[in-house]
Amino acid sequence: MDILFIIQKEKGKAKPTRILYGANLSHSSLKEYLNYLTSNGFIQEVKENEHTFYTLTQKGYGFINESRKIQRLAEAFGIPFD
Amino acid sequence: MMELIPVWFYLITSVIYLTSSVIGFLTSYFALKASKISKNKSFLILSLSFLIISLGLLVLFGISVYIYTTLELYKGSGISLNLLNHYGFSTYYILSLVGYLLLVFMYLPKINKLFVLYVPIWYASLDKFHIISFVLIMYVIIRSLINSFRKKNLDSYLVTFAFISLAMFHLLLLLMSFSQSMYIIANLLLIAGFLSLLYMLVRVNRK
Repeated sequence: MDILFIIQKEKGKAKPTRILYGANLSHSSLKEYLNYLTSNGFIQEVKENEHTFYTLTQKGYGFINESRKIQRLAEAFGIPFD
Repeated sequence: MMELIPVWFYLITSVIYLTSSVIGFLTSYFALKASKISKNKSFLILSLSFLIISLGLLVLFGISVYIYTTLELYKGSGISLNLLNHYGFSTYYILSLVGYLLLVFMYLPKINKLFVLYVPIWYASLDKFHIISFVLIMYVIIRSLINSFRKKNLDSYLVTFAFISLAMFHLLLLLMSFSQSMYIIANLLLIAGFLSLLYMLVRVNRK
């Protein structure tokens, strides 16, 4: 989920290195998570001028919105939520 | 009780109980949705507790409607009102107590979860039901207040107010023998609390 929030913070498009440092992940973990998120349709890989970026899909944006709602509900009732 | 309360007020309480019930069902629905996405058991317990509490309020709605129509429209004919009160309110007591126990269970630290087994829910005559309900909700209020002081956001204050209103509802019904206005104030507080919950749900679900 942190990966999705980082990409959203970068206005919907982020380089792998930005995600790596933002989410505080190892290279292998990052690759694994990016593959998972891409294969499940939350993000997509795009290439621009020999650079690779990851962008949020509609599904990704939708998941972020739902996560924020759940977080707010959890805060309202005092339910621990990660 | 029926002789003390104006008959027309049962129509108003019908609306109050139905509205509160619907808001309770909505809360249950959103908590269930949250539990499915987050796999968090606390949301599931929250959903179940509000589902059961709302079912109790739906029973009260049914009783109020029946009492109003029987006294106002049919001038007393139909199922004995005493019988209806007895079984109807007993159903409401049981459902509400189970709902409140689930809320307490949700807020209890893991190590103390077995505590709820010792709450004397079998000891639920009318007065004792309200006392036990008040005590259970007081624990929920304390946990909610602690959360509100930590988070300092409107949503948590709205939830705390909702629980306080629910506690006052039970406390005032306990004091109803002193003044019939307690019944009226109790129901107004009940709907105020649930409207507060509705406002919180609208805020939480806005984009």
